[in-house]
Amino acid sequence: MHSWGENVGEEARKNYSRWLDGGFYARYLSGENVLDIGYSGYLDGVKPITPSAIGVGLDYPGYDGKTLPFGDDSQDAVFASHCLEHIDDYRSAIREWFRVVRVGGHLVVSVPHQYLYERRLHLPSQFNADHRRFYTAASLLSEVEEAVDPIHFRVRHLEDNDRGFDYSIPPDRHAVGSYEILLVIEKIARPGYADLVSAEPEITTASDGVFMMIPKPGNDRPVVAVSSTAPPQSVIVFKMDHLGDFIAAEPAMSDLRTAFPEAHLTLVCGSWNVGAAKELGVFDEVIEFSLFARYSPLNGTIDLETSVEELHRLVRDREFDLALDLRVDPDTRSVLKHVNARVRAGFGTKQSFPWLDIALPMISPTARGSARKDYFGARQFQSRVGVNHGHSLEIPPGVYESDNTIVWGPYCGIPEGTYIVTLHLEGAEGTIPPFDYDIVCRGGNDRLASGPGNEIAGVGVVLTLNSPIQDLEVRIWGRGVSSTRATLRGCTIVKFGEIGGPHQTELMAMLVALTRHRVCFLQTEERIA
Amino acid sequence: MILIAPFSNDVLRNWPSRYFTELIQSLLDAYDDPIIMVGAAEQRQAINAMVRQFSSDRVSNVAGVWTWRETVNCVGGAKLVIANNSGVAHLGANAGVATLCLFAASHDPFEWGPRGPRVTTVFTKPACAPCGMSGANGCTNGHVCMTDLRPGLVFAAARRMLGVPQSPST
Repeated sequence: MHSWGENVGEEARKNYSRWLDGGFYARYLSGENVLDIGYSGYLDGVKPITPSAIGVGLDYPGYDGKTLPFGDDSQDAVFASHCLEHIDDYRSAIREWFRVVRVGGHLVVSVPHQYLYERRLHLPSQFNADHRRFYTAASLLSEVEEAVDPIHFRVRHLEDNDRGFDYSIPPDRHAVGSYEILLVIEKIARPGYADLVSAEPEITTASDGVFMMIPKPGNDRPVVAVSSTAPPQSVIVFKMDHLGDFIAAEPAMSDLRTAFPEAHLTLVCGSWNVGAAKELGVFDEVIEFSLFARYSPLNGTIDLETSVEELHRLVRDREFDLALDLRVDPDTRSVLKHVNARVRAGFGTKQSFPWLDIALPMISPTARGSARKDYFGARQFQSRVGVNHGHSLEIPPGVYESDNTIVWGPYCGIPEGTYIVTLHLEGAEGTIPPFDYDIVCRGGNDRLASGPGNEIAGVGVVLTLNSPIQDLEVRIWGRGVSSTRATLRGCTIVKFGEIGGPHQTELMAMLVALTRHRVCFLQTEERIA
Repeated sequence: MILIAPFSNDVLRNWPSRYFTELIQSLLDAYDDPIIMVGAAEQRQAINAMVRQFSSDRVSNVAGVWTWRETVNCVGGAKLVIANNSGVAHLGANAGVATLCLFAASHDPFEWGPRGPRVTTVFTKPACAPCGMSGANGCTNGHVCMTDLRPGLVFAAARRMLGVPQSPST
């Protein structure tokens, strides 16, 4: 048997006796049906790895170098010594070798070691120009795992074989001794749980998920959104308000040159700002158009429609890629309707200004956080004991117990904020009757404030709401003591103004930035089947 | 080279693996370009399962092999980047590379989609969009936003970006 080893492949020959004596053959190459892939290497007269093995070379009948002419699970072992490194498509090769191995059989693969044979970091190999890849134990196993689902095999043997390797030989000279990685995997029966391992994460449909399965009208087909580069080449900017507003806009207007470096920039502004606009050095063109009066008190009323027609005459023969209105107040937004522009941008919402392609919702503290005062008359209160005349609600004298609600209302909705709630309630001769109060919401379930009536009927009660409520209710309760006749005329709810938030300069800079980021990538949507 | 990142940070944002396999087959049939699958080391085996049936000289799995920095350096050489709502989609879009993003309805694509001069984002608008959810248990609708993006549809979008196939196989 040892003599057979004298004629096996060049690399296998180095290990033959050891493998025979050490039981490697008995464990991994002992069956009748063994294939030795690429067994002859570059030599003549080479024999396959065992006497009964079939040597498969490119000249083997029926073998095209890719598909082995053997059935699935037909082989006890497949042996491929120093072969894989010559194959481009390692994944298909390993998969094919593994296909023909029977369950319980072995695939035995050896390849030259990068740090024993090649002894360099990068291709090409200095000793065999046909080597496609360099290997370590990890990279060999990695290729096997790519090719074959690890659920189907177990690694039985993996070693760096450097027996007889001469470490004194420098890397530019061919190695002596063994310089390979040896890997043996065993094909195992597919476990019953295999499908569960390879299954995609289960994302289920809830039994009550019917609503969600109904598409919104017109939304039943997938959408493709395509973006393309579309930096505007011509931009018209409107800043038609007053001297101070123009100064506040200058930082944002300076941003325009950075935002649209290639664009021809046109500004439309009041006559009083033309000089400043030219001095700014941002605009290629300044169009004078005095939509407002320079000094509002002298001419406070403008006929916007007439003025806009005049503007329309000025720009109707022009086309712009972008029209941008930098005025924070909404009254000039309609001007954009009269400009031939591919994209129109301004403050506000698309609900308010449907012609805007880019709309920055107004977050002005003055607009959003302004103080307000709401009065709710007696008509919006109810009482079990009183008489409601509409303008006032009369509560007769008597003793009202503490668990007795005398008056309740007005069930108003108010946004978040800080409020003063004052009840217009008085007894005889300007006194405040001996009642208690509370303020509730959510059908009386959440109590927001409570105390003696003289608090809410005097200077009022401060109430802070972190979220809007739908049904604010003020209630008057008895206190178990005698009361004279009392009158309720309603309540006043005053909201404190909220100071702080973006400065108008920042708002305009945000609009320029938004427009820049949005308009440079023209996005179009289309529904696809 | 076509670069595909088949996974994201969340299962709800992932296009189904079997769809990716179908898409890869269509791309291989129509184009000669090699396909490189990128991902994190922990995604390597799942990507192996996706590409196992394909030749290694056509489809590579570099998950866990390429660092993020290497991916950043290589993305500019891609003819097309295909990704879910993930970092690689933004990377391709930002680099100006043709980028095809398969966008789940967990987020609003207009708000969170990749931005760049050559981006195509494919998405559906089910009634539950955007849900803002994450994790397999976060969806109660069978992931309809992604399962409705059929591979043929996505291939058609890719074809529009890659141009008419030059490969003789088509």
